[in-house]
This record gives sequence, structure tokens and C-alpha cells, in this order.
Amino acid sequence: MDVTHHLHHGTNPVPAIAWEDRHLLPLEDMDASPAELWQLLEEHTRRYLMGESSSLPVETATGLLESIVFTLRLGGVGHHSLAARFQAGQNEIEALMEKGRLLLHRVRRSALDLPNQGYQDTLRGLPAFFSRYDFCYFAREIPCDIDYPLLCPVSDSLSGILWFNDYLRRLCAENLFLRKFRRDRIIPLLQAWCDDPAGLLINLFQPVYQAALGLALLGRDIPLLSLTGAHQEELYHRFAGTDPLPLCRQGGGPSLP
Amino acid sequence: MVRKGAMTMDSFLILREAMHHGTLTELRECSDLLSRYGLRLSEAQMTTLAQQRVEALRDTLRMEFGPGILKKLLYAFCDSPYVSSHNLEDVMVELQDSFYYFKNESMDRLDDDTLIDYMKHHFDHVCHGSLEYLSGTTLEDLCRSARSGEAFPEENHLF
Repeated sequence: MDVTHHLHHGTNPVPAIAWEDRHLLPLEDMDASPAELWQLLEEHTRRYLMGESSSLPVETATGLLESIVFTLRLGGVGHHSLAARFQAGQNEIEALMEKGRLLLHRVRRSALDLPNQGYQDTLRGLPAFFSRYDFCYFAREIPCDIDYPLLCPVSDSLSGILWFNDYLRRLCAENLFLRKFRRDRIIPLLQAWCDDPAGLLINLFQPVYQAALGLALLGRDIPLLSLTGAHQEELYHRFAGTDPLPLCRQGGGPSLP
Repeated sequence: MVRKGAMTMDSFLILREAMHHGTLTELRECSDLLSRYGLRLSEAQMTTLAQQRVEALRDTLRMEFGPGILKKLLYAFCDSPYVSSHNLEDVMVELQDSFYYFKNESMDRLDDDTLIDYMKHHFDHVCHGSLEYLSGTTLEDLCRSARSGEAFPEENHLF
């Protein structure tokens, strides 16, 4: 049976052989045949090329296809055609972008004036996402420079606007926590935490959270953020030999607020 | 290990390769035009050109929907004094390869028509039918200019 038969009948004519795992596009939950997807990709590519070119690099075509699959997933199920599902996905992306703008506003309002280059550069770079994000053709991309590491990174399974919004949500939570403390208490803590807190790509939340947690466990004055060597020794003796897992289960674990 | 129902770009590329029938149809439609210039492509030559299109796309890691660029190349080059029925197939294979290669080299900053116009003008008036000179010198200069956003390079005549 030749390949065109499969194309017309919507079955996959060849075993899927991945170049790399990232090229895999699992469609088992998509309710779309390869032929339908091929047609959508063709129409999409024609629009992207605007009649100026008949061909494009496979890398670009892969980006377009991944964007289509991403958008279709967001479109949900129950549509009468793949095109309708795609349109629903695009509408969902636009709604997510609105949420993202609101989240960005919250991040900027909660941002701290802390001397860390990665943090400040990332804050400055975040708004560019909305002007660069090409959700029609490359919805899976994250077109802005985000260097600042979060304590709990965004899952690698997310991409595009989903990844960006989750990053903003987590960054906002970290900012709001840090705002509970005075700047002149945070900076000495960071200086004790590493050699170059202004230049290194470090998470600012982690040392503050750890100090606050340690002081809370000791029943000391948390806002001072002054976890001395003696305090650490006390914590060590308190928990030495203790299995940490039951503690985490009791207290819910040291997760993000 | 590939998951059940998984689709890769490779699968799409293989589907693409089954679509050279469209290329053949387009080439057959060029017969009348070619005959006006005393040119002819046999069915075997058309099949070779269609197969070479798939090879060229694969070699240059490019993807193309529709019948391809051969029809445009034939329309552009059929009146060249350096093309005859004797060398038409070889010239078209070479031009097609060069076209996709230089689309990549220009980082897709040249649209199809601009690249073909440039190829045709230089093939006739600068390279005097030398495909080696066209791809080895002239198109390299053009793509370098396209990448850097400069004006088109000056003509360096072969003779």
C-alpha cells in the first residue's frame, strides 16, 4: 500500500522515528488524523510564508507544527472540525495573555529593589514577551530573556504562554514573601549567603525563606532574619537523627507559599 | 521507544515525498511553453526532476508544500540562450539544487521571485551559462549581501 493511500485515508503510513525526543508530537489524545494535521500545517505554512516563498527550513516547519499541536491542545475537545478547535485554542491563548498581563502587573508591583543583576534584568525583560510572542505561528516559544532562577522552577512540560504565566505566578509569590522583610535585613543575609550576591545568578527567595523558617522553628524573631551560628547549631541538635519525611508530611513540607 | 500514536516531523517529511505527483502535473503543464522555445522534457526526465526535488529538499533540510519551484524555474530559464533540450534536465537539476541551497544561505531573506530573477539575469549576462560560476561566486555574493542587509552586489562578469 503506498503512502498516498494513507494520506487520503488518514492513517499513519510509517513508523514514527524520532530524530530526538523533542520532535515527538504525541497525538493519541488529539482526535486528529495525520492527513487533517497535514492539511492544517499546509494552510498555516502558506499564511506564514505570505506567498513569498514556496519552501521553508524543516526546523521552522517543526516549530509551526509544534505550535499547531500546542494550540489544538488548548482548544479542547468537542469541536466540529480541527480548524474550529485551532481557533478555540487561539482564543484561549489570547485569554491567557490577558491573564499574563495582569500577572506581570502584579510582579512589577511586588518587585523589590534588590541589587541582583539577574533579578533586575529579568524584571526589565519580562514585558518584551507580549510584543514578541507570536502566538499565531510559534505559540510554544518563550521569546524573552529570563535568567533569574526560581526556587521551584516551572515544569519543563509547560511551554509558551503556559510556561510564562506560571513563571510570573511563582515569581510573584516569591516577591510577596520577600516584601515581608526589610531590605536592610535581606541584603546582609544575601551577602552572607554567597560571595557576590549582586552579580551571581542566585535565587533571592531561598536564603530568606530558609532563615525565616529556621527562626520560626526556634520561636525567634522572624523579621530580623538573623539566623546565627548558634541558632543553626540548635536546629541541628533538634532535628539530628530525625527522619525528615514524617515532618514534611505533618507540616506540608517546605513548599512555596 | 516511540509512543503509540506519536507523530514526528519525519512522518510528515515522508508524506511530503509521496506528493511528487503534483510536481509531475505541473511539469507536464509546461510542455506547451517549452515547445515554443524548442525545448522538450521527456516523461522520464520529468520524473527525474520530481525525484531530484525531493532529494534537494532533503539535502537542504527544507520542506515544501505544493508542486515546488521547478515550474517557476522553467518559466524563467526557458528563453535563456544557454539552455537547450540537450542540457535542460541537467540545468534544471542544478538550478533546483542551487535554489534551495541559497534559500538557506540567505537565511530565507530572499523571496523566491527575487532569487530566481537574480539567478536568471546572472546566468545569462554574467556567468554566460556557467552553473559553477553562478553557484560558486555570484549567488554566494548575493546571499552574503542578503544576510548582512546590504544592497545587491555588483556584477563580476565571467568574461
